[in-house]
Amino acid sequence: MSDHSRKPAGASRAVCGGPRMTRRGFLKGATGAAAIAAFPTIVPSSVFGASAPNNRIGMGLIGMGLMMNSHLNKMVRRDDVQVLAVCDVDRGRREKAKKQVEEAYSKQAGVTYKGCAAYHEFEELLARDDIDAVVIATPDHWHAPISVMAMRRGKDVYVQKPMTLTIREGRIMSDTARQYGRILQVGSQQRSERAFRKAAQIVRNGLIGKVHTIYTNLGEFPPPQTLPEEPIPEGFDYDRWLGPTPWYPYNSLRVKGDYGGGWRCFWDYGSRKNGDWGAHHFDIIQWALGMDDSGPVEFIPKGYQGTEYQTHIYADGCKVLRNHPVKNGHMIQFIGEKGEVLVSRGDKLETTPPELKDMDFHDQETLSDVPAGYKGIWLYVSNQHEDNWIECIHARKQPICPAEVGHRTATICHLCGIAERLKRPLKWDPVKEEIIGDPEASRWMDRPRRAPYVYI
Amino acid sequence: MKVLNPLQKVMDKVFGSPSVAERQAVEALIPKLADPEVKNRYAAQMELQDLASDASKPGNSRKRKTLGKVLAAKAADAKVPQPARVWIVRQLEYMGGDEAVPALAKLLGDKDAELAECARRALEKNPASSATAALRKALGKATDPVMKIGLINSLGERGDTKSVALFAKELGSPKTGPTAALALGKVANSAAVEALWPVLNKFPEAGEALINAAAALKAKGNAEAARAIYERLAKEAKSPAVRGAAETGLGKVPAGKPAAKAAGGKKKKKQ
Repeated sequence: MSDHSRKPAGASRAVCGGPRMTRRGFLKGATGAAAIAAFPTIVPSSVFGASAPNNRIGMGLIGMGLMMNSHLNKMVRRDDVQVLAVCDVDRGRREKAKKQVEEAYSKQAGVTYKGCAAYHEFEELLARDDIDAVVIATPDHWHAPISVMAMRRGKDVYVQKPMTLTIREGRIMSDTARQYGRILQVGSQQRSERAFRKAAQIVRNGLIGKVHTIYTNLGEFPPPQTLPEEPIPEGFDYDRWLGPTPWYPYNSLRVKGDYGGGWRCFWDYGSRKNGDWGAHHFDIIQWALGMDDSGPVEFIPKGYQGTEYQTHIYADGCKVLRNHPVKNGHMIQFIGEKGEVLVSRGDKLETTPPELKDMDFHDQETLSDVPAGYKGIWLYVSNQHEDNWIECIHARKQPICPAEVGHRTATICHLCGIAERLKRPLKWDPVKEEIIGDPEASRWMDRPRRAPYVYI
Repeated sequence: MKVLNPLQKVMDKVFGSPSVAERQAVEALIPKLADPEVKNRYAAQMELQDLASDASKPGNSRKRKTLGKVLAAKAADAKVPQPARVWIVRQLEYMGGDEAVPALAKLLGDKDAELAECARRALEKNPASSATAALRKALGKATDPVMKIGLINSLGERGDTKSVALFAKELGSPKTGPTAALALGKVANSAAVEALWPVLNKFPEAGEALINAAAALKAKGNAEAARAIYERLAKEAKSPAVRGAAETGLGKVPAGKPAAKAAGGKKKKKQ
């Protein structure tokens, strides 16, 4: 099992492969109808500070909704990144994002900047040779098609969580990243938070003994709905928003990007809360248990033969219970034979015994005093998820949450969802990546795609 | 007494008559699946989904087939309202077997594009070999580019070697060519690989499909054929990404004699 035990990705800024922006290249890439309005001016190098153009990463942003806001702000502030293009199926959103990028660069440079193209179709953005990397923050059902095409066209990828809509998509994405040598970071950014890393370090190093039970709170979405047809707003390409998923009449609640519901409620676009928060918390559990290239072996839905909590079980018997009350309102509670670890966002960490939380895993003196049984496993250190990705693009190193890790976590999300839908438990072989003894459930490992949106 | 439609009669003859209970359960749900108040349809959808899920449990093959037959008959019945037919076909996507193929095949030609598309997806997932034949037959007749893209993709997903010539015919089309290339990459036999070389560098999917084909051949144990593809791509592909992937692939297959046939190279004449 790989443990990703390595020292932090350094600040190495080795020249990254791939073409850089040239005026000629930009013009060649900007000939699409959608990009005409974005005809660029020459960009003064002062916009990008000290970073030489050859070290600069030409960036495209795809899916300009709720989740992209923070990515956009992060990217336009980096002097080694130039956001060259944005893309969204909603004209209003893409034009707003283009304006945001251009205003940010104009403010930094003190001159008017008009160098960000706005695309309706991601294929046009990916066809540009001067775009080296893309951030994908669409709904889940578009993650894999865009990511796979981007990697095949030589782009590095940051893709929001969960990485995929189906288990098979994950296998394809991971294989594609390997085949094409691309740097793919999945946006399960809790891996880049100190408290979660420390929790994983404590568990992984055996400091609370063998972990037998884990509670995690994912919350609940309201049930999906059948919705009446509404007029499609002007400038919104609804058919493309649906993409490879089944057709339904337009309704604003279906496409709404909302942490509390919207498209996230619908099975067609994800695995509901299992995919939403599961992609964070199941991910940390996988990391802490050292299962990044494997996974659980059994999935039991809530309600099955009186099962009170949705449960998945690892081969060593460790059980993960969803929505079981977690002590002190934490997000995850690891219960081992010798102690406990409780962890949440906001750098919240509690341990039993309490001194575990004060251990500094990078301080050799502290490490010399650790209890017997300490395994000496170092976990990958990243303190900021997007920064880690960019550093890895420069250094051509694996980021903290690469495709295989994202695939294995998403597999758990999807299998929990499949068991919930089918209302029966599933046995899973994490080596062969097969559902055992249930051919009809196995059909859910992938979903047929609606034409013409068949890219994989 | 209720009169059965002709298709249902044929299916009853082939697969045996479904139980009255299954038919009654589905018939009771149909008006609710098409309730004019759209919000009210959800409960009926879940009820039908639960029926389908229960019938698809391991060990329930007889029940699955019985329900599959009832659902197929309703899917094919033009008197059943469209929203109900769509949801019924979507259940067949995940539990339909050979008993559902004739009805789904007929729906591929339905004038309702949504129903036809749902039927295509259901056939893509259907484990019966007759589903492949139905999709192939439909591709031979299809004229609408979107339907063609769907059918090509479905047949590619099913790895249908008999469709290679049909796919190859599409490679010259800007609309269907890229999907045809990807489908050929999934089939990954020598004829499929052979068809892809002339269009390598015409559109990106061709080189990408050859990378997929090489990986598939390697996974099947045919490392020599994979190596031959990688070697040729490393020399001939214009896309730096594809050349890079080919170089990476070459590093993972042992050196050996190129397998000209699987690589799509021309056979040498015997001396």
